[in-house]
Amino acid sequence: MALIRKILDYLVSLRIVIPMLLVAVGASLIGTVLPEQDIFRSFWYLALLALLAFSLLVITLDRIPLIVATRGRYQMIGVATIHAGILVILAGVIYGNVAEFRYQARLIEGEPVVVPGLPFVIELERFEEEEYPAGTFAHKTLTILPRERQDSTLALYRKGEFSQRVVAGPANPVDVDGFTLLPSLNNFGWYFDLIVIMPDGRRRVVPFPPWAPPTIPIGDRKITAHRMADMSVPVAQLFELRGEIPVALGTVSSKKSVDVGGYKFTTSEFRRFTGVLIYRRPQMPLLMCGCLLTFAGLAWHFYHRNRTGTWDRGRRMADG
Amino acid sequence: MAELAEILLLAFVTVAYTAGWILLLLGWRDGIPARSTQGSAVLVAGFLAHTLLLSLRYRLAGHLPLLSAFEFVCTFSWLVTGVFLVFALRPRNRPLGVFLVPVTIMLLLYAAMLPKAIEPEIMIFRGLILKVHVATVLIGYAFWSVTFAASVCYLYLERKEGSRAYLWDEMAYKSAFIAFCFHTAAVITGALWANQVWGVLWSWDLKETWSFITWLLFLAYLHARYDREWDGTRAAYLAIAGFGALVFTYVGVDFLLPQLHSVG
Repeated sequence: MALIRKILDYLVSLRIVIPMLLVAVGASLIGTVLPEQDIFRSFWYLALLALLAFSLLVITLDRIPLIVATRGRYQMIGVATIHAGILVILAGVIYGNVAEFRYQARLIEGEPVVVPGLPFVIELERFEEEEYPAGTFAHKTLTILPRERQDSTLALYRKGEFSQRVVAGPANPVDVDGFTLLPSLNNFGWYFDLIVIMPDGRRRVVPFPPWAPPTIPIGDRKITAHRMADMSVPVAQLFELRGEIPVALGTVSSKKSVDVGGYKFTTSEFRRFTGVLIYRRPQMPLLMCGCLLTFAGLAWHFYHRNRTGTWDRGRRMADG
Repeated sequence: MAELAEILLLAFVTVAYTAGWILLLLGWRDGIPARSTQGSAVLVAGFLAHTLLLSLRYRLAGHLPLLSAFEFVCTFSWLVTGVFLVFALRPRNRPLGVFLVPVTIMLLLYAAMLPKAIEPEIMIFRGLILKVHVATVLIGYAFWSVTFAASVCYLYLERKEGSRAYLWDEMAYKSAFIAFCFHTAAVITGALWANQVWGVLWSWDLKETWSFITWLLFLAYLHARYDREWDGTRAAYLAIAGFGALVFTYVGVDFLLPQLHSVG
C-alpha cells in the first residue's frame, strides 16, 4: 500500500510530469522523422500517452480534497478544470474508437448504393464540377488542381421510396439522421460500362470501373479491357488474355464496336462517380464538453492569476 | 499599380521596423528612455503602414489576407508587432523590442521572397472554421514570439546585478499562457476543419504532429513555470525550444515535409 502511495505521489509530482512531457515530445519527433515505423500506433508510444493520461487522472483526483479543504482553492479550481477537460477529451477519443461508424463508398451516377447500417439508400443523381481558369495556380507546384466547385446531388431513399435530396461537397458535408455524408476531395472521375451484344441479340452490361478492369469469358476465351485517355468519348481497348499475355483485339467506343467471335463489344455513355465518406461520431458531444471545460479552466486560471497578481509571487518576494 | 504599391509599402514597413529597432537598441544600450520612446514611435508608423498593406491586400484579394504564404507571413509579422506595441505601452517593457523586432524584420524579409500572386479562396478554404483556425494559430504564434524574446532577454540579464531579470521571466510566463490558450484553440479548430474536409479529426499528418509537439513543449514550459518547479534559466531554454518547434511547424514542415496541409 505504501509502495502504491509512493508511486502515485511520484506520478503527481512536477518533477516527473515535465520529463514525461519531454519524452513524449522526443517520441513524437522520432515519429515524424521515421514515418515508415508508424510510431504513433506502436504499443510503447500509446503506453507513454496512457501513462501521461494516468498521471493526469491521479493529479486531478489528488487535488480535489485540497480544493475542498484549503484556502488557496480558487487557484487550483482552474488547474483542476483544465485537467478534467483534457481527461474528458481523452475519454471522448477512446469512446470514439469503439463507437464511431465509418464507411467509404463509391457512388456512380444513377446507381443506388446500400450501405450496411445506414437507414437510407444513397444515389448520386448528379456530379458537377467547375474548374478555375487555366494558369490560376501557375506559380505553385500542386499535386492536385483545386476546383472552384465540386457538388454532388444525392437522392436518398427510405423503404424503397424517394425521401429527400441533398447537395454535398468536399468541405461541405451534410448531416442526415445523425450520419454525415462527405464527398471525396480527390476520388472522383468518369465511369462507363462495356456493352456486349450476344449472338442471339441479348444485351449484357459489364461494369467497367477505372479501379477494377473486367474479365469477360466468351466460350473458353477471356477478354479484358483497358480504358483509354480520351475524355471526350468513352474509349476502351479490348484484349484477349492468352495465359499471361494480353493480345490486342481493337478499340471500342460508344460509336464504334468490335466483333469477337460473334459477340459485339461497344461502350455506354459516360457517367460520373465520386467517393463518399459516411460517418457518425457519437463522441462529439463528449469532445466538445472536454474542450469547453479546458477553456473554462484556462480562463479561470488566467483571471485568478491576474486578479491576485500571482504570476510569480515567489520570485517577487525573494527579490524583496 | 497595386502590386507596386504593395512592394513599396512592404519596403517602407521593413525600413521603419529596422530604424525603430536600432533606436530601441541604442536606447537600451545607453540607458536613454527617450530613444526607446522614439524607437516605439517609429515602430508605430511602420505598424500603420503595415496595416495599410494588409488592408490593400484584403481589398485586392476579396478575402482575409491569410491564405497564401505571403499573406500569412505578413499578417503574422503584423500581429507580432501589434502585440509588442501593446506591451510597449509600459516603458519598462520596451527593451523587449530589442529581441522581438528582429523576428518581425526577418519575417518581412522572408515575405519579400515569397510569390505575391493573389490566390482565389478555394473550396476547402471557405467557411468560418478555417479562418478561426488560422487566426488562432497566428495569435498563438505572436504571443509565443513574445515569450521567446522575453526569455532571451531574461537569459541575457539574469547574471547582471540589479537587473530585475525576473520581470522578463514573468512576462514570458504570462505571454506563454496566452499563447498556449490560442494554440490549444488552433489545434481544436484545426481538427474540426480536417473533419470537415477529410472526414478525420486527427490523422497524425506531419503538420498535426508538429503542432502536437509544439503544444506539448508549451505544456512542459507552463508546468516548468508553475510553482517554479524548474528555475527561470531552464524554463527560458524550454521557451526557446518551443519557439524553434513553432518555426519548424510553420516553415520546416511546409518546405521539408509536404503533407495534407500543402494541398491547395
